[in-house]
Amino acid sequence: MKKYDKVTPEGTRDYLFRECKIRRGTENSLRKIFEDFGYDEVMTTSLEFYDVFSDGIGKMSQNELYTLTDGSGRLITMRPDSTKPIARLFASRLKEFVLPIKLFYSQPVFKRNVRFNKKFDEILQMGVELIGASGFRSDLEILILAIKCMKELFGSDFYLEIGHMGVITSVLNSFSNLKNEAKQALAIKNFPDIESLANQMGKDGAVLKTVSKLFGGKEILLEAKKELQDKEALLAIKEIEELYLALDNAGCAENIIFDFSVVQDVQYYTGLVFRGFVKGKGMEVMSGGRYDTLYSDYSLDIPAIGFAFNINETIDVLKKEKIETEKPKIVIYSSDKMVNPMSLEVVKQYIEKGYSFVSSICDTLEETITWAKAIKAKKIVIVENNKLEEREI
Amino acid sequence: MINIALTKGRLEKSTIKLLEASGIDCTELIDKGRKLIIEIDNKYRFVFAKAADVVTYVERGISDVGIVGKDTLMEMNRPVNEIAALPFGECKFALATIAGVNFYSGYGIKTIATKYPEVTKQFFENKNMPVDIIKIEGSVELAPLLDLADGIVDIVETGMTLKENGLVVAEYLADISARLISNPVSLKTKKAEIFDFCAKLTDPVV
Repeated sequence: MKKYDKVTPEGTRDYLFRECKIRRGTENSLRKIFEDFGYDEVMTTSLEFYDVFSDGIGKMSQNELYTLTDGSGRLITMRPDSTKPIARLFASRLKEFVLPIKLFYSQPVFKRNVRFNKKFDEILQMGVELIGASGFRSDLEILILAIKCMKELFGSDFYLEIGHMGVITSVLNSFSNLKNEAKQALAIKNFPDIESLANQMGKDGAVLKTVSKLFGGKEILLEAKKELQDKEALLAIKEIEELYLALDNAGCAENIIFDFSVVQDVQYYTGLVFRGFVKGKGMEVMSGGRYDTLYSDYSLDIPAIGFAFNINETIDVLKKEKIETEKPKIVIYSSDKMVNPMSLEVVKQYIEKGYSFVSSICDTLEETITWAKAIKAKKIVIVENNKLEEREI
Repeated sequence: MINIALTKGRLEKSTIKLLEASGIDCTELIDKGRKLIIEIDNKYRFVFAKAADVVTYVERGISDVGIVGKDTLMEMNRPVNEIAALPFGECKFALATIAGVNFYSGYGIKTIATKYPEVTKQFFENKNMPVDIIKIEGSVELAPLLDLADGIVDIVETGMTLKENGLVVAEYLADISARLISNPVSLKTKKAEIFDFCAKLTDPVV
């Protein structure tokens, strides 16, 4: 007897009926926004050579990757992320295009997770890449696009957190040999560790403590300007302040929060970084930022910015909230086996009225009635000699 | 309202003592009977759970904050924020062996018994030293005495249990104490409440 022929591997699942509807619905609404903003779709291969992720700026940790070998024994990995593959795609096939290029994608990524933790190993990721543009205008566009998506999916029940890697980078400059430890402590906001690292650094360490608490509402902008002296850090904060003003002008600033101590899981961010949270959910559903050095893995000096939604986690929120009304079902049965009812003109009229038609392929009316009850149909329409008879169930 | 997960058992008494010292009325936490969820002052919703579950509830955002030992945090290595070190549950992670035996001598692969396989694995990986690790659920001191293992990795408070069983500490791995942890999203969305709770715990009104 086989043991694993009826279950799916941990971290994966099948989607059924309403789950598919919510998933496709989410996909469609994001796709529409991306297309409205003039972004073009690309699909990259699910299988990549391991070399794409093995080192450089876009390096991924080996124990997160699903790997296998190809027919020649070369190491292959299931795509763990879409940004690096799109950089690869750009480096090989889009290099000659006039910049900037606006792309979007909607495809699964594969990552190994800790077991027994309700995390997904196969995640549908939808996101955008704005390649070949740096500076204020591109940051603003991406933020507005991200906020529009969050609004579309969650109404006003969300937070968009923005920050800037420039603050941390300049603060950590003075931490020469403790840089990695400090970065790690900030990434997970481990305040006892931050405190002890700051103490180890003596006078220069105080700024680490200051910056670690620079998160919250818009009052943080003022506080950050007051508390920090570093020129580079202040420049970064000014950039964020300007973005905030522009977002406010666009009428989409009410859900913005700030974090100037942010260090993302993804290592390649260089400037603006942001994340989307939904009220009442303990995990982010979207994250993004600027990565102006990632393309240097391909010896290209191309700035880029983008974000991605974790559609699995997004659906997890929507599943609890949005209950879509399904179209009422009507079963249609033809007494003549030579006539398939779906080919009849009259069925079209019903479909236009908003019913979902299901044709019975049972041999008898009795069987049809039993089946119609099982699928919770509202009515049965019986076709006999080109005449229709409606019957309530 | 913030949701707080507290660790049952070893840390429970000291946790409640600290909460009391910070001016929170803990009568209901002490006489909780079989109740698992306790609301106080319409401000705090407490739950009691096993240490590892405290981390899980906080990681998933079911609880905004939790109080749990650093040992559990190190073993689980989950993305939760450590807000403060609390002044109780102090002990050390230690590698212990039978007195008089040099653990590091010889080329043979050593066997370690522990309740903390991840911490142990990390420790020896950092030393580039291959070892066999056996997961044990309790009374880890037995393992070297019965020749199941060459050494143990465990938390040591006073060292009395080790001494009584003829074991000695070969090396300390890390300092442990109770920690106030938070969910990373809650920290953002409930910053004031969480910092206020933290201030209460770390600056008790004596």
